[in-house]
Amino acid sequence: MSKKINLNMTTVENRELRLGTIIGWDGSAKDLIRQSAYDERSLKKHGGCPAKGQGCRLCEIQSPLNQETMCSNAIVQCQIGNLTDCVLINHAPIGCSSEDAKFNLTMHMGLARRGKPQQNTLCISTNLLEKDMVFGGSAKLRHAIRVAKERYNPKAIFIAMACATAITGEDIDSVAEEMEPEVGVPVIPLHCEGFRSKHWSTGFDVAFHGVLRQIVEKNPKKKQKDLINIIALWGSDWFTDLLKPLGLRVNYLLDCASFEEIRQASEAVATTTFCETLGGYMGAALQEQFGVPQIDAPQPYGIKGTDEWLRAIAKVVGKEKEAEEFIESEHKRIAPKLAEFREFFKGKHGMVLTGSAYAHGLISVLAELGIKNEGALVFHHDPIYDGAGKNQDTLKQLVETYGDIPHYTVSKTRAFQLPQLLNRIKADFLIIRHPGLASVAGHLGVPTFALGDEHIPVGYDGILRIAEILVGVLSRTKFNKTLQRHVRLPYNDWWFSQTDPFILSNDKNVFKDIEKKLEEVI
Amino acid sequence: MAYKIAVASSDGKNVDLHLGSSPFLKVYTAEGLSFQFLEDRKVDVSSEAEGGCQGGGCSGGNGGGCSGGGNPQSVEIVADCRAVVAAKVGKNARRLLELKAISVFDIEIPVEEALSKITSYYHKLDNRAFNIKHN
Repeated sequence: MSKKINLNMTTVENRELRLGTIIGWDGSAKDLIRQSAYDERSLKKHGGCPAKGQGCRLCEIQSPLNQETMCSNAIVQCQIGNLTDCVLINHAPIGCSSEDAKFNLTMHMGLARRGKPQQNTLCISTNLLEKDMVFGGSAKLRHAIRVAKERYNPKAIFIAMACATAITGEDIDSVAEEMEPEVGVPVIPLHCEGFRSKHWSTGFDVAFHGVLRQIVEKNPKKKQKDLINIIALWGSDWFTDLLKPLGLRVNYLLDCASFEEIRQASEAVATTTFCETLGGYMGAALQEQFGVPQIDAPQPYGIKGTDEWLRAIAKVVGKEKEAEEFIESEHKRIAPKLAEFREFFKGKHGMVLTGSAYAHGLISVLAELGIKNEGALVFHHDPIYDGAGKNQDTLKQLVETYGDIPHYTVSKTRAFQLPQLLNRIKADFLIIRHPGLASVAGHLGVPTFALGDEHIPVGYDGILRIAEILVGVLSRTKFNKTLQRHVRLPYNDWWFSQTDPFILSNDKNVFKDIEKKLEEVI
Repeated sequence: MAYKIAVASSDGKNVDLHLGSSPFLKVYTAEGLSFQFLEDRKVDVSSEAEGGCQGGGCSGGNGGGCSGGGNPQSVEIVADCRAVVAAKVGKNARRLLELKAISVFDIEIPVEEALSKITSYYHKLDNRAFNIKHN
């Protein structure tokens, strides 16, 4: 039986159960495609019945040691907290809000990139203490909801759950229901406690689930024939240029969006995204529950990907002719510069370390520039996306178009693995979409590009934009070599000489040895 | 492991007194999920008023002078307790108690209920198992 997204529930089934997400794997990309069995899983999602044993659980490497990472609650803060006219109440101890300052900065950058007026995030913490853990914190939550209404007069109020409140069993659903008539705006509970899922991307689904349940217009009176939803983060507005020839306006969700922009999502003509990991849930839910089709196409990266993406959108809006003309003129326009860059990058090797589906897009852009990718690190792997479209198998498309990646690693921001990852491959530069990891990698003697604006590689111009940045990154190779000579990382020579990033899991004796040493120290 | 909890209650039934103005504190011993009354500990409120609050300072316009209402003596006599339960605890006393790693619960509910919730909380904390699984 096909599994549909259930908007009647306030909770979201986490990614491990829904999609079979894993956070530890090592091998070749081809092997991972085979093990992921996308087609069988897709069949299952659409109500079919694959052969026995197909599309079962993916084998995963369990790591006994994990390093810094985000959680679902932090993701909800950076998604919902960055709405311009809605308040997020973090029903948690104050420590859970420690990243708010950073998210405030990203919101300012996002607003500037989109040409919106600057403002601060509207986040409140209920600042739960030990007393509230023992006797309950609902009174504080009710007070916070009233304060939020009084201070900001928001269009909607969100309540985020945290590990502490989940352990004590705070009933945010009934508080939300009880307070809604009093404050007169939607009060939306979000079950995003950190331990709900082992990967933070469940937080995206929770945030989307909340807005789909209570903000998106259920019965749109009119359809906006020129509006397209783009599920995005805080990236620059490159999609407008890309979709203007098709006569489409862009509606970015969810970061930096307003209540009205979210509400009109069901009036749009279609939904697409810059990253299937991020946008899969919202796209699928809008299609299943609101009748807004999700674009079943590869992601808009590299020439082939962008071509097919544009064609798929054109098909939905009935502008095939315009799309073909645009594609042809763009090919011609970028060809001379692309040839120059291809010449420059001849024989260069790169490595991408980012989130799952986005990495596939970024690697295609590098491959388009003639840069070889012997290895890649993704922070998690979804064997299937919620849409489960035939053309959405991003990893398969990457490998079929640009060739296999022999060392494809799935691992959740474990900086201690970087020496091994770099030992087994050749890399002239790294692209990392994670500032913490990027600073460690920078000390290993490889020039590192900490990619902040995630829309840079999108579309035809994206290839050129990335190329221009990489020229700059490669010009500071000596700086990183100098840094490596003068800065010592806290690992010993034995660790640096290893080539297996999962040696702690694969060689049991190593970990036992470390455990013994730890006991001596403690 | 047994530990003690101090409660500011006038009748032993309800937590109804301000820590700073409570003439005595009821001390209970607890172990696991059970608890029992141990003793009354007298607090010298008069010396307290002179030292901490300067008489009628509380009603002054500043308000900050006595915001604590907490007296060093009441903090001293609960030094061997793990937690203090009172209807209200001033900022000063709270700070001094927290410096001694004594938990402060300011809440107005029946003593029985407060103690059963606190002991169950500590029971969970103390019996937390650390499982490191290797595969």
